[in-house]
Amino acid sequence: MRKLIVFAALGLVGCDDPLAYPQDIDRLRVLGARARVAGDASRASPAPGEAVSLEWLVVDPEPAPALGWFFEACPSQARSRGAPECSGPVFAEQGAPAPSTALPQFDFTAVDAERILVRGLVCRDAAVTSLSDACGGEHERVLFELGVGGDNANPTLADAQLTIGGQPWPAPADLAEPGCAADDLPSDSDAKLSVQLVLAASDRDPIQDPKGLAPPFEPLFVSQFSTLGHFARPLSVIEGASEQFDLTVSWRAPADAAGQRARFYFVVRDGRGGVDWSARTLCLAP
Amino acid sequence: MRRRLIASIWLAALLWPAVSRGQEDEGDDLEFGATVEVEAPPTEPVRRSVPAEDLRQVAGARGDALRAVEILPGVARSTSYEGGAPVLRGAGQHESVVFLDGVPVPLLYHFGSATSFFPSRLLDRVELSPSNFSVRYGRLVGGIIEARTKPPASDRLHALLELSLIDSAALVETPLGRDASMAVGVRRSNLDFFFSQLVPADAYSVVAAPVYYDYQAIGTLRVARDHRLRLMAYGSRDSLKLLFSKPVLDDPGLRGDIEGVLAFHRANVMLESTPAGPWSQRVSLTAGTLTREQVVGPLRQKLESVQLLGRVEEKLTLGSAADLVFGIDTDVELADGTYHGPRPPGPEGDTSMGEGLALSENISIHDDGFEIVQPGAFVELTLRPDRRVTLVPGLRLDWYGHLRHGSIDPRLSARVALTESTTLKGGVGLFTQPPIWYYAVPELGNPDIDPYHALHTSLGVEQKLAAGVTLGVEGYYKYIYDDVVAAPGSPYFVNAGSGRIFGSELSLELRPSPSTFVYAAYSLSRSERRGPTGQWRLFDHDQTHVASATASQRLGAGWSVGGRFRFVSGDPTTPVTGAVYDARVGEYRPSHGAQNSQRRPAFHQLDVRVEKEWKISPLSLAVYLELLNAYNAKNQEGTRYSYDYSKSEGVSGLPLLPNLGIRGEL
Repeated sequence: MRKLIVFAALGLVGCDDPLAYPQDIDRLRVLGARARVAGDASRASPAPGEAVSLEWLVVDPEPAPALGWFFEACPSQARSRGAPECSGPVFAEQGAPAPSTALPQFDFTAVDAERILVRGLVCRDAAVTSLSDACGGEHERVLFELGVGGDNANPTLADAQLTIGGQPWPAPADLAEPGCAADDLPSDSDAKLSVQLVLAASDRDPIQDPKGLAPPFEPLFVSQFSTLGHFARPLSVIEGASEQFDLTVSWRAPADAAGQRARFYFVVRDGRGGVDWSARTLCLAP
Repeated sequence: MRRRLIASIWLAALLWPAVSRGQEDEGDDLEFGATVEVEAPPTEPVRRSVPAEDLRQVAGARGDALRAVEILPGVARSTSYEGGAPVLRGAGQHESVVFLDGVPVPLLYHFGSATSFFPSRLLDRVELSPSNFSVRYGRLVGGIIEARTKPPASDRLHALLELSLIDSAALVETPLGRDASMAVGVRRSNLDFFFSQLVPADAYSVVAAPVYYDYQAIGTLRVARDHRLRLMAYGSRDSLKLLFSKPVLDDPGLRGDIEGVLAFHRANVMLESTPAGPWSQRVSLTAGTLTREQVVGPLRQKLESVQLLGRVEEKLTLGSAADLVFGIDTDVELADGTYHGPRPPGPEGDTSMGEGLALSENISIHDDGFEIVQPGAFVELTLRPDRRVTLVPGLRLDWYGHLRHGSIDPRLSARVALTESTTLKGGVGLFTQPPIWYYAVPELGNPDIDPYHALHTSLGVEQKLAAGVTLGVEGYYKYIYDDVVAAPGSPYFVNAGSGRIFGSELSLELRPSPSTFVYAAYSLSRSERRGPTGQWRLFDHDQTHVASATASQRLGAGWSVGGRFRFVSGDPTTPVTGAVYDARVGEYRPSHGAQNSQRRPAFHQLDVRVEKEWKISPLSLAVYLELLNAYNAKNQEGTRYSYDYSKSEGVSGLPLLPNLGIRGEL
């Protein structure tokens, strides 16, 4: 175990200069997957036999790329380390018949298993018929593992208070609009703005740890992304033992993008499969 | 209650052979020294022994004899990532141990790569047996390094004060009357005093430096003519606290501050009896504590254990043709601990080690009573049927209480002096090791896991080419079976692996004059492992070529210079061929190509040491400068990746590091 800390320490030194910034959307990216149980959209973990919709948040510097995709689901089980693997045959699969600007959504019925593993391939401008397809262009291979049974709830950003530069920051009416929209807040070029997100205490589920070593609640991880400009960091965390639910991160506007529309994505996770996301926009002033 | 019973049994077992056969006597002027020790037969076919005084002169070792074993053949280059434990003849770092006077120690180097835990001034010799070691030692399938202390000076007061950029040390040795002497030493790191000045404010997130210290106190007392009692206390503490000037949140699992403590404290009592008859005896009892504490953001581990280590060795001289050594060697550890974090990786060959911490699920364990009771017994016969021939058959029995499993390891070694200058030596034997203890903890691993085994064979020649010039050539083959490997699901560790290691080693030692020491070594080896899939692959630290050349020269007028050059094949690596986005945690998981199918670039480094000493009786003052990595080689020690594994670059090891020091001695 000693090696873990030494390894971690050495690995961290100098990490202030990453090879690429995960918070910058500069290519086709999958940012999250949200499981919604039929009849109870707040629940992230289906019971066997329940229908589930798995929605995927796919973003790109372009507002609405045409996407081809294919997903399959199989049972899986707890493992020691490494990527999850199927422990049984694939029981559901689904693909888009043709590239579409709609976000991917994979519908299936949960089987009686410890967990369900969903694997997928999302491609730009190409139809996908199996996971072994080679898209040729930009693509993302993805997986998502969700527990079966239990009552883990999705956190929600719908009620979260979001401000930028001290002003309330409402969701846009049309995220796919390529240029600035009338309801977009403006931003000066090269401005540094403070973004604040306030979540609700009810977004966290309690953690049952008989050993008493885990925090009383699940933590919440908020990832922030922008298609223009740059967030100071990619991730913010509300720890399971924290009583503070507000997060603040600064965003710097680009100096040379006058008149363009910047899109922002906020994805909140509970680390156990519960996910939600929300988007915002800004118009960069000439 | 259960612990008390175990301790009582253990003590009874420990002390039974120690019935004194010596007689009280008076009036002997025997000086304390190595001659009173019960020497192990110098029969291991590959035991390499270099006086600590020579090892202290090795450039790059910072005067540290334990560190200087890196120049010997059979020692591959280990990385600080893994505690700096030695890689001996292709064995894993957890498969070899450093013994201090027969007692295993939990730490070799502070922080895995800094100074060793024990000052070289208190060492007599450092002996390396990279395989085929004596039955006096067990529970290992790799090799051993034995550091042997020397009695504190009994002639007069000696004192030493040494200050360097890396650490500071003080040591005092003094006689206490005619029959006793003692030594007290202490060392502390200096890095934290100026770390913040060395690191530009915006360059690193780390704002606190690591701190280590160690201490030693040794007292010897001649309690009778033929009996020497030694009391020794020693300990070490490494503590690390990394505070980040701004959060590091690329990995959701790696957040918050990082803290760690590794500390051990030991007290040892040893009674050596060397009466005039055929019997001699050494009884050693060590008690101590070990603390391992680690916090990485929300992940935490704390382990406190009490250790009781006992060794009794009896030697019976059966005339000039034979010696019999037998004894017991017992290890008891009572541990309490808590753990909240990911499941531990396998001992090696685990490609998931490079993944983000958030990608592993955390487990919580609170274990308030893990007990390890490992008694062992050994018997070794040294036969000298002829002046030129020495045969050493031996047998070792071990019981692993927490595994409810035992082992019987027969071993044989031989030396045949073909001529006055040529000696043929060889050995074959079985070696057994229990898995790392937490692999047997039910929640973490597999309570039904068993020890694993290795067959060691070696054959070599020692050739004295001329006065002061010795050449050694050795070849070896080892086969590991029932090896412990990680499994993807429960049980998480199984005895389903095997390994094969073979190689040859060449060493050349030159001592053309008392002021010159030259040592060159080359090791050619291949170490492979295979798991349940049956495919052989390279061991994580397989290093095909390990070459080193070391020289030191006293120039006169107090000047001495030295240098060490090393060339080592890079460790194998597993290529990352792509990545899959895990939407549950928002991180990418790497996809890997064939395991350990590539290598890092070769490592090469030159270390230089210059020292000037002034003697103003009874004082001496020395100033030294060491240049570690003198030509600033950019040796790649690792690889870092972008968040999506689409970009990568090598991570270099230490740059040119000057270490200036001053040493005063009385």
